[in-house]
Amino acid sequence: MPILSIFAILLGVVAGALLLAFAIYFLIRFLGAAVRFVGWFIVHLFTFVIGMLRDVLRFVGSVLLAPVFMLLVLFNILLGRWSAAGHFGKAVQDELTAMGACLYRIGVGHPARLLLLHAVTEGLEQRLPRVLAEAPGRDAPPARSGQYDGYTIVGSLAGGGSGGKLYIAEPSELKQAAFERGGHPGVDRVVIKAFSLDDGSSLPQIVRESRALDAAKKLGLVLEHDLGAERFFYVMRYVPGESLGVMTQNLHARSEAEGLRGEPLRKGLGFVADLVRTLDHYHRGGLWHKDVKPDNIICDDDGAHLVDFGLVTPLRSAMTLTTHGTEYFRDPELVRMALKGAKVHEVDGAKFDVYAAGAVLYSLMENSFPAHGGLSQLTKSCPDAIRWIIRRSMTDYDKRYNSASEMLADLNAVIASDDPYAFKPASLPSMKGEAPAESPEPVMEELDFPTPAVTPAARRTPAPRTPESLPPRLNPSPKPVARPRVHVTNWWTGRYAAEAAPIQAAPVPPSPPKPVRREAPRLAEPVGERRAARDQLASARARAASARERAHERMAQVRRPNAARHGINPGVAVAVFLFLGAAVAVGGAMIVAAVNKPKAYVTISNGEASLSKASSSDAATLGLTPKPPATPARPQLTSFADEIDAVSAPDLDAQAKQIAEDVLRRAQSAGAMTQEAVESAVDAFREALVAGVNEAAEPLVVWSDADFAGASVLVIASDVDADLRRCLPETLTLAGADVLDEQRLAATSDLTEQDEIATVIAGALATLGLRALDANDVGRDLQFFVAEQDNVDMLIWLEPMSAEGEPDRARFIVTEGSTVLNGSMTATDCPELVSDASRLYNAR
Amino acid sequence: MLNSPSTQFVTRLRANDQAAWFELWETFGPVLRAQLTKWGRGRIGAETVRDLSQETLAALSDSIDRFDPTRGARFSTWLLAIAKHVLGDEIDRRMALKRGAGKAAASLDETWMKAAPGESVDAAYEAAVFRAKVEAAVRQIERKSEFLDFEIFRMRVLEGRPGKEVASAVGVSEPTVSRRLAKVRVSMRSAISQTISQYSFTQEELAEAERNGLTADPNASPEDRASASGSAPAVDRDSDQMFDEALAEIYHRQQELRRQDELASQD
Repeated sequence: MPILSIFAILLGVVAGALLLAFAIYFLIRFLGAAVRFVGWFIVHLFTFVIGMLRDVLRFVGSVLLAPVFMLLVLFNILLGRWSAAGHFGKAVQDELTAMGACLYRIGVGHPARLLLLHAVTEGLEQRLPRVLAEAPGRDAPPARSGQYDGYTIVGSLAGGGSGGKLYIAEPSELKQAAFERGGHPGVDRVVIKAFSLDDGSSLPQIVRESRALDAAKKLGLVLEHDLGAERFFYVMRYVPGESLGVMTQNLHARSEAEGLRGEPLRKGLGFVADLVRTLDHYHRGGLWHKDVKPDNIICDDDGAHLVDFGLVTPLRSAMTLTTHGTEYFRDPELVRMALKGAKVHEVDGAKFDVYAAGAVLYSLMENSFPAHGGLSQLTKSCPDAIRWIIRRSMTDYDKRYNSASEMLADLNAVIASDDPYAFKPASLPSMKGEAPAESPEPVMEELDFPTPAVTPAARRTPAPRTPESLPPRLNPSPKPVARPRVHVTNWWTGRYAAEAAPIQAAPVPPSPPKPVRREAPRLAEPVGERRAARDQLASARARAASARERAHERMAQVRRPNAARHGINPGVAVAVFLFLGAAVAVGGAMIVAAVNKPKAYVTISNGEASLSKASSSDAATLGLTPKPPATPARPQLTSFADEIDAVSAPDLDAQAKQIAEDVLRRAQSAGAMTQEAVESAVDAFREALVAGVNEAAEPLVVWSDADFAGASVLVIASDVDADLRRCLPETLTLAGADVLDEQRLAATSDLTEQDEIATVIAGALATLGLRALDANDVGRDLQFFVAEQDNVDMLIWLEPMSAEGEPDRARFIVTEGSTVLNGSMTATDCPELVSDASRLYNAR
Repeated sequence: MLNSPSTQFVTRLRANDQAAWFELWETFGPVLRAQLTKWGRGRIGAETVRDLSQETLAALSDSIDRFDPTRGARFSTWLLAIAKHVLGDEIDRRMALKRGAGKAAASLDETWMKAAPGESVDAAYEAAVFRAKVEAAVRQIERKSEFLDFEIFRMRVLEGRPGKEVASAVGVSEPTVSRRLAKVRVSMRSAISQTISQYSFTQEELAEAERNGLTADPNASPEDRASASGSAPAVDRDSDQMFDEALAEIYHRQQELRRQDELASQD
């Protein structure tokens, strides 16, 4: 029993230990997972924060930098440096793009990633830009490039890498008739491929395309072409369809996962066979397509059609081999040869097309591109024979199919078999040493290019011309030409005559097995007298000069102002737009500020009491006692308009004398000043001002209306009396004063006597709560008034101090610019004061 | 001390032989891209990796005249050092751009290197370089051999298909398959030896082929070499089988690397 107990205890302990160990193990596992999760979460959060910070800083940086670039754009535009402006405009564009991207990431991208919603933003960040990049251009050609005569643009296609714009167009009836006469019946839609320097095409692109155009014309692929001052374009037939790349995806979608089988396989092989057949036609025509790839193969119910002859090159071209073409479908050997500087005619370009056809076949079977040339592995199920054909076409240059017709024969054999998977490579015609089914002789009569078409994603080329319309150069069986017999008739000048030899019916030599390239037939030289060498030289020089002149003219037409090519870009436009916007905003703000300017300070003083009105800010500035105006407490003010109107420059003296006498009379009646004092003051003032007057700008002397202003004398010295006369009432009106002249005052009121008017004014003052200004207030007010008025340079205020019980004395205030003098003097000294002030004014 | 093929190859590179440079690019481009991708760890995209691998060769072109064979560096190390420098330069340039400066640092940023695992010349990289050399040899033999011969070799050795099936496919007898296979195999042994010599700077690199079962010639006697065209002795059959298996494995690993490279390109 004890043993059992001990055993049970031990068992329990062991079980407990095991359970504890398991618990600890799982706890550790759990803790580990928790720690990893926390760590991941922290890293995730940290990544979010860092990303947000980075983008915020980047955004701020762009906001700071963009205006700098904008200024540089404007600066360069002002200097006429269009290229530099365009450069900085691009920088502005980049900064704006970066700002937009930062805003997107701050607002959408980072928060979505924080919430693990990558899949939601993936479409915006990846698919959308790709789709936008692949979108066709605008349907209508640019206005500056004009329209295409005889065509109506109905759509556009996405451009390829050649830099051209592709438009779908409908030809007019006249055009269709012309096409029909040229051997292209039933052309209801065409593709116009246009190049323009203004639209981003480069000169090398245009030259390359136009060079290929000559070759394409030989095969009847081009319906029409034109080179003008603005653009270069050519016209091809349009037939809708899908590219082989898209078709390959569709075929694989319909097949099993391991590869093509059954009908999809046969259909795909049929497309490739069409391609190889077309290539064979190209090669027989002495051309090399050079850009064979799925995107350039358009498939429809009629089969596959090879399009885009932007790189088509004559096989016998003397040009240096270039590496143009599409990676993965371009033979690496071509690159090697190009790097060695080989010429086109030194290599067999047809073999490079065969390589590309093999690569296309590979992409059809694998639904992928051959990233490593001949070393690319076939991972999906593929018939041995097709595998063999792929290897044979993509193997080294020397061991490749010699011609497309050989490859076509092998392909046709596989297609014709009951089961391609059971077809052995040993059964291929090339393995059995059989000649290709089609004649290797380049018989142009057999040319029958499939109808080209264009898909939304690719271009299509037109069907070739009928054999009858082919140029004689491509005539496969040129007639033998006898060499003329030449007799020199003048040894000195080199003149000679040639006798036509009878044409012998030379037997046509047997055709070589694969004469892909052949000599173009020579045209018989005209038989007859030829010009002397000197004449020929002169003629050649004249032709060369003429050609040079035409070339200059054409280049002059092609060259556009720099602004058109480099200067205008979205960045420049944005910079200019923003600058103009800022200028308009600033101007508008200034206008608004001027309109909403605080009310101008207006003071009308009548000695005993003054009306003043100013804005609160002005009041603070001027030290006025702020008195909020009561509504509608607009002061009834009088004006000097009549006196102003009465004074004109020509009879200033007489007018001044009259006014002075009037003032004298009034002053005498008021008893403010002695007659002698006033008369003396008026004379001295008049003499001083009139004597010192400038002939070109006579000062204006205005005496205030003293009917109810006691003996006040207001002198305004101005060099532009007419302006002052015009602006003073306006200024007062603008300042809020109700300007009344005597007539208006009389018409609106029965008040004609001074005492009555003074009573009204006193009542108004009491109503407004205004107080009379002291001398200092008046000085400040006048100073402010003078500073505000452009046409008033100096103002002298003379006021008898009769109210203070000193009739022999007068208060004076002289304001000129920022200088204000005030004080009091004996009335007899007033003329001297006016004289000094006038002298001071004239000295300025 | 460099062996003769290496000297010749370096001389070609120094002479700016475009074909030599293209060969170098074609052979080691995938390895460089794989290594740069590994180092980049998502910081750099596939396009940048391709650009950097090209820049690596451009930098190598600039530094080829300063190459000192007496330092005893391995070819793979030499290549890697250039790639490191290029990548470090790119990272420095990016950092400089972020800081708002336009200066691109010229020296390798070692601190960045420490942040990534596998920064040293590891065995995986060495193996990848070796496989690239073997693949270059295979490519060389593909160029030199008859198309039918190499296709038989491809189907029989690289694809591992039975001799009878191969014979049926290409329409020849099984002895013919064996004979053509042996012919290519002899050439292949020689090409591997030659290619490895060309791209090796040290004795250790030269011995890599033997370590991986790709002996240059297990029976160096002329009789044995002659027997390659006929029925091979039993001992040779074992050796050949081992050679074929080793070659197939290396080839398929390299193809896998290329497939990964292809996927990265498609991304």
